[in-house]
Amino acid sequence: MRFLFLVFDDPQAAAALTDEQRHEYATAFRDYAVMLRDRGRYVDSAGLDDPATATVVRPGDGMVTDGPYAEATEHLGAFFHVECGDLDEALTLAKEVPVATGVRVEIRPTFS
Amino acid sequence: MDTVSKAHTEHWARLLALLVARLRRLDIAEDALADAFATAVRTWPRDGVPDHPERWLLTTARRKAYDLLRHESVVARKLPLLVTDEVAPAADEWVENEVSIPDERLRLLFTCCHPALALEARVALTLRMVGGLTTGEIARAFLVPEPTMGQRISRAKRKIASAGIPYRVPSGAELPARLGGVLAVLYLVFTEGYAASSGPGPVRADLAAEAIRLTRLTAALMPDEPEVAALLALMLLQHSRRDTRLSADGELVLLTQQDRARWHLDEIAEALRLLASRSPASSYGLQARIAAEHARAAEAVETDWAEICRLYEELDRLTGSPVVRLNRAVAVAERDGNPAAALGLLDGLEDPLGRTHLFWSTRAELLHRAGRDTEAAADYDRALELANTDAERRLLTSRRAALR
Repeated sequence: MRFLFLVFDDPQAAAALTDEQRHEYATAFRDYAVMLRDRGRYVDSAGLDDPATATVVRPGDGMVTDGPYAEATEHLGAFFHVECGDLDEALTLAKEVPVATGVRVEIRPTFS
Repeated sequence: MDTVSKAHTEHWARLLALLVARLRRLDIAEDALADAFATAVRTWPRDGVPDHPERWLLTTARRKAYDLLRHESVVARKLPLLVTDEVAPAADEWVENEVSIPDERLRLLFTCCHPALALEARVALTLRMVGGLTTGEIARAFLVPEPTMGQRISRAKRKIASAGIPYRVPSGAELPARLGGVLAVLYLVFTEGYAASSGPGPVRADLAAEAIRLTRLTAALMPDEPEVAALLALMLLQHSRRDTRLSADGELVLLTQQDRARWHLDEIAEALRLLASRSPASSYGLQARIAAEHARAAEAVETDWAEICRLYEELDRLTGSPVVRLNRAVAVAERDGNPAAALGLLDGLEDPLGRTHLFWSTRAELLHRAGRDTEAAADYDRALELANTDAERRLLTSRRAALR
């Protein structure tokens, strides 16, 4: 089955990162994705840009607004979509997710 | 006990665990087995008890399960199959061809106690699935309405299937932490039996007895785990005093004043045997050894308080728990014959424990022994505000009245 790892960040701490820290995090992120691929667990992954870059559209009438949907003390900073046998395996992998300012990883089974 | 009830106690968990393994559906397995027992209630008195009750129940439940699966609505979103490690045998092969019925109960237990489930869901699910209690019985034991408990259990079953919680005993590095989680659930069921968080009566021995039954089962299935044996010993020792915890008129009786002749000696003996072979220096192990010291003393005055203080010191160091520190203080006061050192141990506990009546009543007792009755009275007042049960309030009122 497939699981989505939703990596939540602390926006204030993320803004305070130095360039060097950002670079280290990007490297760790890539290494983690490579590890997933090597083990045949990788489906997809991406980092999300700052919430300030977000645009919100309402399905139906198509009304467009600027900014994130809601101000929050934590926001979605990255995701990994993985293929795992069960939740225990997913939990083991999710514990290894690289964190820059990560506060938690939410694991959600996905279906298509 | 009638034959069906006896079969229920003996076979429920084992049959359910096997049905779950083969059907890979918790909900269908549970409904089918409950239906098989309901059929037994109707037919056994009329037709006689079958030669092999366990096999009869399994065959009946299996037939019912296939009915349920066949009639399952095509429209309703079915629960995904449980994740298991092996490929299930073909539909009809798996009962008749087996010489003995395999024991899958540990898998059932570990799945019900998975950390991805909320603690209260783990407790309810374990009592329902492994304990075989009805939803109504569990609801009454935990003082919640039956529909609430029913929802809690079905939500947990759905989560197990949908979230991919495996039907498996964890292995290797995972096992110690996961076993700790299972034991925590069992001990919570036990303590809930003794400390109803509210309501008129403090002792619900049936829940405690059920916890002991489940822990005994776990100990039998995991004979090489000293932690399980230690928890079983701890429960047996505490439970052996059940008949003396309340006086004839329903008042709580302190450990030192209990009638030791009425403690259950066979249970104490079993616990001491469990501890003699292996007694880990873990939280359950140390708590059990402390309880064993009390059980060994034929009279309260013979209690080896020095040894109890030593064990509490070790437990305090291991857990850093404020409740342990509080109990250690009581033991130190008994050992020393004066409360000076004990009162010192209570420093800093007001913050973590100030919301429990036990902190205030313990400090009140120590202050009273130090001749500081005015301060003791104030602490008893705080304890009375926080006490949960009527029996606790009556005990505190009588002790406060004894102050000068």
